Amino acid sequence: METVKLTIDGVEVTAPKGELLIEVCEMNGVYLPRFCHFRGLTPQASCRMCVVRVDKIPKLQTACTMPVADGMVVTTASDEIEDVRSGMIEFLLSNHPVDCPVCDRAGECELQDQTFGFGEDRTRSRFEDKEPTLERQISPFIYNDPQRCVTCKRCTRVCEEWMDEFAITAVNRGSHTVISSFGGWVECSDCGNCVDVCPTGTLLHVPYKYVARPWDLKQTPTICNYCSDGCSILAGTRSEQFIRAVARDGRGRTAGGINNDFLCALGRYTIDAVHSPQRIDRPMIRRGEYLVPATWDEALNFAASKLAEIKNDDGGAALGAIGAARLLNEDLFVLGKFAAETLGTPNADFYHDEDEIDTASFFRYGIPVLATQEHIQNADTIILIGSDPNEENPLTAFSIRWAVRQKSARLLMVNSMPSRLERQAERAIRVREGSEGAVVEALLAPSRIEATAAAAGVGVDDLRFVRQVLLESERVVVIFGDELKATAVEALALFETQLATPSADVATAARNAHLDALQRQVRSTNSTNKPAVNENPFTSIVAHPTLEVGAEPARTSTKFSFVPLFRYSNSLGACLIGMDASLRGGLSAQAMINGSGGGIQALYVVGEDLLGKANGDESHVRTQLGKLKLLIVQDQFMTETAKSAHVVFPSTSFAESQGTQVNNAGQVQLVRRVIPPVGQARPDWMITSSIAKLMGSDFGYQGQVRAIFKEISERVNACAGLTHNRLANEGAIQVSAAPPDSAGIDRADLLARLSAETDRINKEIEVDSSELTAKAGSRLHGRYPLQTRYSEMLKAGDGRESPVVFPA
Amino acid sequence: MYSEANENKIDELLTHYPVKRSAVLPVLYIAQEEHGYVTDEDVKYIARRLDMRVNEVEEVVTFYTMYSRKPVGKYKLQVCRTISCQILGAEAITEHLCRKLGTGLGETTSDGKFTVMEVECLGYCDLAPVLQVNFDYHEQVDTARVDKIVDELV
Repeated sequence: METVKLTIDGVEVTAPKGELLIEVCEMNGVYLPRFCHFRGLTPQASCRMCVVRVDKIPKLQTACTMPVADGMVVTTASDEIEDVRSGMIEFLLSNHPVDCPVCDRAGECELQDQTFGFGEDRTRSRFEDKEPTLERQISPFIYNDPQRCVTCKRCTRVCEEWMDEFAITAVNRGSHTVISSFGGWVECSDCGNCVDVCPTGTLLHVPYKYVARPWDLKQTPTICNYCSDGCSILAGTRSEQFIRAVARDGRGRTAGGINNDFLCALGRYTIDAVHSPQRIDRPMIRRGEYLVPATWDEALNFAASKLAEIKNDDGGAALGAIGAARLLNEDLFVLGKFAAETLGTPNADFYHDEDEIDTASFFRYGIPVLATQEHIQNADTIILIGSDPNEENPLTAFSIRWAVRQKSARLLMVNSMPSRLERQAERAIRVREGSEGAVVEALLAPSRIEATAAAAGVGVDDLRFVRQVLLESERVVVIFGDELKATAVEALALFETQLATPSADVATAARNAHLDALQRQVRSTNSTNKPAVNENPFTSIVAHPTLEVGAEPARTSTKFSFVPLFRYSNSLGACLIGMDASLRGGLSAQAMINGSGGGIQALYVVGEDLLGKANGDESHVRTQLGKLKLLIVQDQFMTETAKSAHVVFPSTSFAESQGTQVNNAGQVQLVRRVIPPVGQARPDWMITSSIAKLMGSDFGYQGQVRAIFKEISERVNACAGLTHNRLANEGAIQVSAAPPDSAGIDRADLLARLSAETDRINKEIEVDSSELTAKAGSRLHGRYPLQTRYSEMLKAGDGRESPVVFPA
Repeated sequence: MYSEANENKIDELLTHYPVKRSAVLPVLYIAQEEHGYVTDEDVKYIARRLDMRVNEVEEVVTFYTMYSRKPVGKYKLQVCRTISCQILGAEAITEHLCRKLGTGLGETTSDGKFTVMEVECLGYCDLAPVLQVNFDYHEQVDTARVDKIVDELV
């Protein structure tokens, strides 16, 4: 990386070329006050707090817009600069209500901090109030107090640049400028990032309003459990209550995860499920028609003796264990071990059905190189197949937008449904539902391009273009969702050899041609809305949203890297640690349910609602479960499945137990315990190993979750060398990839199978060419299965009948 | 949504700029001419017409003092309040107008004829103080001249 030397307050420092002065100062321990500057947003330079003197420039300069240059001599503190800064604070305070005693932001308010550090405690002028309204709710989750605004416009920039939603804006002018929106009500995906970045109490979280003072909160970094991106959250707790989850608190502290300052609606507003009154608070045993509360000892003994009885009568193979893909590695590992060693059955699986990505196909030839968020953000080309990350994996969607906007990446989309990301795409291809695999075939076998195009219902030119772009690119991230079926997922392993770049020169020429075309497009086209690509030359400077400032962008070892958008937080982990039935030679979860009453006499279900997932087949599943001699359920909530169990154990949520999970980039992350268990709940692994102990096999964990992970790291190659301590210190650690060896793949057979699938596609299905009409986030909100106060609000939106057309 | 002449005018305006959104200011004038002020429907319609977001149009409308988002009188009496006019008695003129018409600042008379407003610099500092009635400027006004202007309009 090119560096420059400059002098800051008499000290010579080295900095990456082109980096902003304000960030370089901070890297070298000189904090410059700021309101409008925010790492990862376009420079705005409206607050004038970061002014510094740069030698040979006559006026004071804003450090947040000044790229560092060689030989620059900077003074960051002098009487002159202090005067300017305290003058700015005085101006800001002149129509600020200073209602800190009733303001939720007090204690982590940047305006308070800056005033304390750089301002004066009085203001000599008094302007009229900004607006007659004092405080109002502008969305189900956001309060707005316009009087407190310092018009830094961080929130509106976040909404535009991170979320591409344009939901809030600054209206009116001068000292009357306030944050608002058309109609006064915000229609958005409720990500809440605008609230996190707000330096004052202007925007506030509704669920956190008047609930706690920031200095009363204990803040613990942990990992969100609601999608496979694996964002870190800063969990704020008080008196053993989980009160709020933020990406970044008012003091600028983050959980230090892969998402940095970003979080979505699910991670932020669904935490009240942890304290839901509907949680199971004690073990229960079935007595006739009713589930009756029992002590732990009774319930554990009951379960153990019944399991032993059935094992004796019908043999181990009559038993089955099913785990949920959102459980932590430790829980799933102990469940697998329990099945194999205590129950003596190969039938152990994590619940995944054919609507999900087929993990076994993806890992058939080894562990492919997986792309982290950094890799997505620094990719040349991103191809998105069969998924809408906006509604399923919001962090991935953010990274894609970032790559396109800030790094001029090329986005190609192959989808059967409309997606908001199409605005960013260079080429968005709508295919016939279920024909995403045909496109994969077209990319791998150019000779079949006509047949595949007809099957997918797209133009041959579109497919040729996609193939051409992939061939010419140097670093490609393939992001795919559950619309891509098993054989096509397996065929992704051929990308590396079949789509290799002809030569480095070709790639460079193509990249330059693309950048030229972008420049022309931004300057001249009659483009719709604001350009999706970046038109501001300054923003390329803030280049690393999730990296340490000045770090070299991450590269993968291969040209193609993959992001499988799994549906649950630990689908990949479950597969890695061998909970997939196909790896164990046992029955899959579905096969176990279908075999109930026949080959299967008892089921041990952890954290999964089999009836809730039955997807229209509920009566069948209910009948099957009814045939079992024994159904044991461990869950947080009284699900339909738990209601039909013989014994129910209350288990902990992700907030109450420690463990690890693996996100869709293969990054192992430590989930910390932020509150003690609610009610009598116990961690899933603890319940399972207690039963194992009663059945005569002591796993020897002695109540230590670390001991389980030690065993995982010894037995699972991908996790070798990892410990909880290391994860706590180093954050996310990606499992080592074992990329497929192309020699081991039977190419001809794989392509033949793919062709056969393509030929089976029903060509009468119409291609969906509709515009996107649903409210942003409507599918995201619907993903959340639990009934809680805020999740209900998320699902209901604002209760208005007509959906807002996006873009409005 | 608008009269045919105005719709044609919008079509014509769009050809003046390389990017559609650039036409937002003149198009907003057309909306204001049609309805007297910029209605919610206008904002939505213009956003659709110019490929903008409603919030972006709202931003523009509320920023400029010459657009109004509320119903206003037939005549907008706009007194410049920036420094030159202020020194030469703009405040007294505003006060006089309010008292004469019996309205508050920014309010409309009950007959819907007049709205008294304060605006930022009108660029006539050499002939301060200035009163703008709709699109007409009246320079170096005093209370007597203001009376005359208003009486003629009543």
